[in-house]
Amino acid sequence: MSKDFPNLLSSEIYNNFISFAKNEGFTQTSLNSLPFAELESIKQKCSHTSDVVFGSKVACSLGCSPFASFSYFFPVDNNIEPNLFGSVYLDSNIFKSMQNANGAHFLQLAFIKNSSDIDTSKLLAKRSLSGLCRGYMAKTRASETSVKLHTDLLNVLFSPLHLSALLTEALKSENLSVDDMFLCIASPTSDFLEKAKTIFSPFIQANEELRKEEQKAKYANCLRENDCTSCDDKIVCDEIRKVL
Amino acid sequence: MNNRVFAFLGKGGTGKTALSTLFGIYLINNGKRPLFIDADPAGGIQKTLGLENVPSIASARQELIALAKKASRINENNASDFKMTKEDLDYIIMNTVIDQKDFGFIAIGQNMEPGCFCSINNLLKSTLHAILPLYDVIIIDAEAGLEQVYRQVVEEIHVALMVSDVSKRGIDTCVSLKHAIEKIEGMKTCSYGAVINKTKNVPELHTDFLHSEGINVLGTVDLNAELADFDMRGESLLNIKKDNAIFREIESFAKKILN
Repeated sequence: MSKDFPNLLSSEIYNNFISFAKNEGFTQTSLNSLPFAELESIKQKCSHTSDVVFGSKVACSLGCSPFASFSYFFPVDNNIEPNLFGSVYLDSNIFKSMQNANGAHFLQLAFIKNSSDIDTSKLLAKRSLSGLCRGYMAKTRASETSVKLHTDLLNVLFSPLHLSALLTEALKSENLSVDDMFLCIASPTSDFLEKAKTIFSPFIQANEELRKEEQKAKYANCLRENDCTSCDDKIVCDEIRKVL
Repeated sequence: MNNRVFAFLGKGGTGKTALSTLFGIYLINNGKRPLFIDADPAGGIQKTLGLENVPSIASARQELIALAKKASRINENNASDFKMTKEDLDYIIMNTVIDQKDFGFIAIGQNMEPGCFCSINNLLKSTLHAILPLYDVIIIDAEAGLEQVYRQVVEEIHVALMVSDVSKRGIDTCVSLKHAIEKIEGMKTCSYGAVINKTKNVPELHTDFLHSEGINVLGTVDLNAELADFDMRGESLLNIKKDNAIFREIESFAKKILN
């Protein structure tokens, strides 16, 4: 799957998406937005975002939700192979994932600026930042604080400010400066989502087909030689397949 | 897969874990970002890297099975009380990847739950496979045997590095392991090499025998007082000084397999 995947996401799809997002008037927030009261000055700072987005030193990630640790990195420069991390989960359900507990949609784009050219290993190092929560979840899930944080975020709302706070924590843990990343967050209308769905549809369709093929073809560990009908463990596998 | 995969194999007690860790540290010192795969059920590399209580692929498998069983349980209303989500799967799987600034780490662990669970195995395999290309080099401490690693993570070994001491038993094990790898269906291995540990000199008898079996002796690593001290205290080998003589020995064989 990983070998085939980069071809599925053309720069055309990516460029369409970015210009579309810009035209839709995303609220742009940088990490410098903290403390929260300084939102206006941050907006000014973020007005430079578009100037630095295009170039090999910048990568962009689309996050499905703060609680999906998988994100997909779009390399801004076509010479960089896309980071396939989490590609298995990026499908049509992405649009469902972008709803918070109150049903409001949100979309997050993180632009990562680097002092040198971004390659896949650097993308990997920063994936927890633009995916927002992988490092955060892995390190704190079991603590009382994190449970509270989860509850707050899930049950109250996802706001740019919450996300900024999480990102700041992630940046601190990686010893990165807040200037290394810009975060764009939108509360898109349903009209926006419909349009975005259209733009992403070739990508989504190809990804789903790939997944189906993979499910069929790769049963290397199956002790029943692909015949699951009489398997004692079928009920467990079916649950996993249901989610996927 | 563009990154290079090095598997360290050999008889127990010959120093595979220490050498694979030091090889990785040498790469880190030279600007590479390796992924360590610890195939020792007892957790060898995680200790030499100073990691504690890390989840393994086996434990993730166990957790996924438990979660799926919970979700499949039907209550009296013919409905399930618990719904498994993508985020649940996501968290469990990615929790097995320890992603540090300079390196990554995955422990294979030991499967405790009998049964097929092919969808879970494939989920784990495909997800982990997706992250492999993101590291410069993959280093496997193959205590548990390559077949297990093959079934769960990698499908190709660029260099199988046999680690042995000067004992005949150690040397014979290198050859036996090579034959065993060759029998694993679908496993691609590009080349074989041997590193003779805990000595400065390799008897010609051994060199000739290994060579006749298609295994080149790439170098030796002598007994090292600082390494012994670190081992004795259980300290992470990441703290061994870069100018320690052992890194020059590592470099001498590393250059042969990295080029």
